[in-house]
Amino acid sequence: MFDEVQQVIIVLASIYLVVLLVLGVIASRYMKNLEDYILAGRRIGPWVMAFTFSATGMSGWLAMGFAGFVYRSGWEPTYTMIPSATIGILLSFVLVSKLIRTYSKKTNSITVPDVLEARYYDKSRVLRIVSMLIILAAALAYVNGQLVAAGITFETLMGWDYLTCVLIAAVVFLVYTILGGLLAVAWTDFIQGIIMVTGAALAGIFAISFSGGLGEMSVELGQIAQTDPDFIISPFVSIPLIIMGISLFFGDGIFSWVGQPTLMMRYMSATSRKSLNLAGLLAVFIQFILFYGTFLAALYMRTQYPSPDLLPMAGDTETVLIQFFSIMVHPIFAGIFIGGLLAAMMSTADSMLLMGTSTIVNDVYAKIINTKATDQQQLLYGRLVTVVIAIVAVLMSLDRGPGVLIISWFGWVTLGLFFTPIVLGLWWKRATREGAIAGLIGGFIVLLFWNPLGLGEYLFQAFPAAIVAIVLTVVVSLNTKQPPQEVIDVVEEVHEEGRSKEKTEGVSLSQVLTPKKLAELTQ
Amino acid sequence: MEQVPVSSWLFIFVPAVLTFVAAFYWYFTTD
Repeated sequence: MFDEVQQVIIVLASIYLVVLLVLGVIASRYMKNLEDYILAGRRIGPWVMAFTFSATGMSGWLAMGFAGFVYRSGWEPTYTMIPSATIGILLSFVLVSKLIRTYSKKTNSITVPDVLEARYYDKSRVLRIVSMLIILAAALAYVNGQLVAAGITFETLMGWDYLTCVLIAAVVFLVYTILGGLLAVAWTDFIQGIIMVTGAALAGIFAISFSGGLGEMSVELGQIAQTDPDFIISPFVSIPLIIMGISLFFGDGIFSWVGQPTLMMRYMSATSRKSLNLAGLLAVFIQFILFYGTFLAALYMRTQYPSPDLLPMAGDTETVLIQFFSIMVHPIFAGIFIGGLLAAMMSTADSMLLMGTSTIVNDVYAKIINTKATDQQQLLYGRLVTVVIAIVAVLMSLDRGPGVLIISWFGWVTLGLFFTPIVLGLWWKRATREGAIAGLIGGFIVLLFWNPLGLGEYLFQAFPAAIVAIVLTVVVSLNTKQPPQEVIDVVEEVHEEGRSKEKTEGVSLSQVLTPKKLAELTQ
Repeated sequence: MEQVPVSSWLFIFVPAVLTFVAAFYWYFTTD
């Protein structure tokens, strides 16, 4: 059935993979030390930043997990993830981006654990090690999740061997990451982001035009809701669903978006403070297209195939978007979309791989084991660790595990735990070392045990985890000795820098129109 | 005949529009 589509996919995917490798080779010329490798020498501009931001934040989960959810259950609580993603991104830029960029430069930090150690004056290394373990566990889960997703997708679509697919995806993103570090990751993310946005925009536009508008779609979806009680068309069905929606909005959305350390590393790599303004605006816009396009296309598929059994790939709801593109439109679009899907998986996995590397080489090797390591040594170890993490993730992928989307989702919310120590650390001078450690550990414990205790059907686990983390951090901070003055001073300076720049960079009319200037002008 | 209520679509689109407005505000007012 998909013969023509398969040929297009093979051609496009091959071109695409070659382009990624070439970018890796070019970026490798700029790699001189660890800071170049994991922060791209702090020279990422706003356009690349915006696309890399969205490409990293959105994994294969959007096109598979989320699309499947929407197809099966319509306005079930997961719909709250759409508004929470755009709002979460904006909040992340407003609350974190500029402050963490300035803070990391002032304290010579190149990773999130570096920032935490500086902000929480942690000489005991406890905070560094705890955050390193959390980052490493989540990064491994994430890379593994993406590899399994890539393997399953291409096995289903192309009939290729699962393991071969996993290996091809792993080798390509491993090679360009090793060669070019964050610069290669950011450049390839830029291309991957463009492909993803194009795919999602096309999906949304086709869905609206094929269905004849939202009005037509509303009527058809209403009919489906009458026959399928699991397909919900109103956000206000019952109190438990509303509560679940709110917990997803905050837990999965707001807290997790603002808390992602991979995105914080993007901010630290920004070429200037000002460039983050444009990056933020673009990122919100890109996110809008990604989510709405996916949402509308999944709903449209439901109107065309009212029951999962009727789908071309009967019963397979996670691939509704792939089926949409394979059947409804010209194969070239299917090729672009599937390229986008591969892009979404690789662009998330490469960033996670790099973050895992940074936490081992910078946070453990360079800061604890060998503080006198040369640039070359750090770079060499960085590349070696990247290879080791990728090999571990590939080995983990031999077993397909409990479901890729669940694994990725766990990685996402675990990384979201950094919301509390980072946001409170940057905005609340009184936050102490003890408070941050208590919050991070407390939140992680809630995250681990919430679902096994059977509480997951009432509230999404990331919401109570974030609340516990915030409460613990605040309570413990208030009951411990306040941070040393020099730590408080740096936080104040970081805020001050934003304010003072506003004064110096903005030229008011009264400054220009001084009597002297006026005299010059009228002469 | 039942159909998707307008409020459902509004719940999806209004927050996005407001976020855009907020993003533009931030873009123009922050250094």
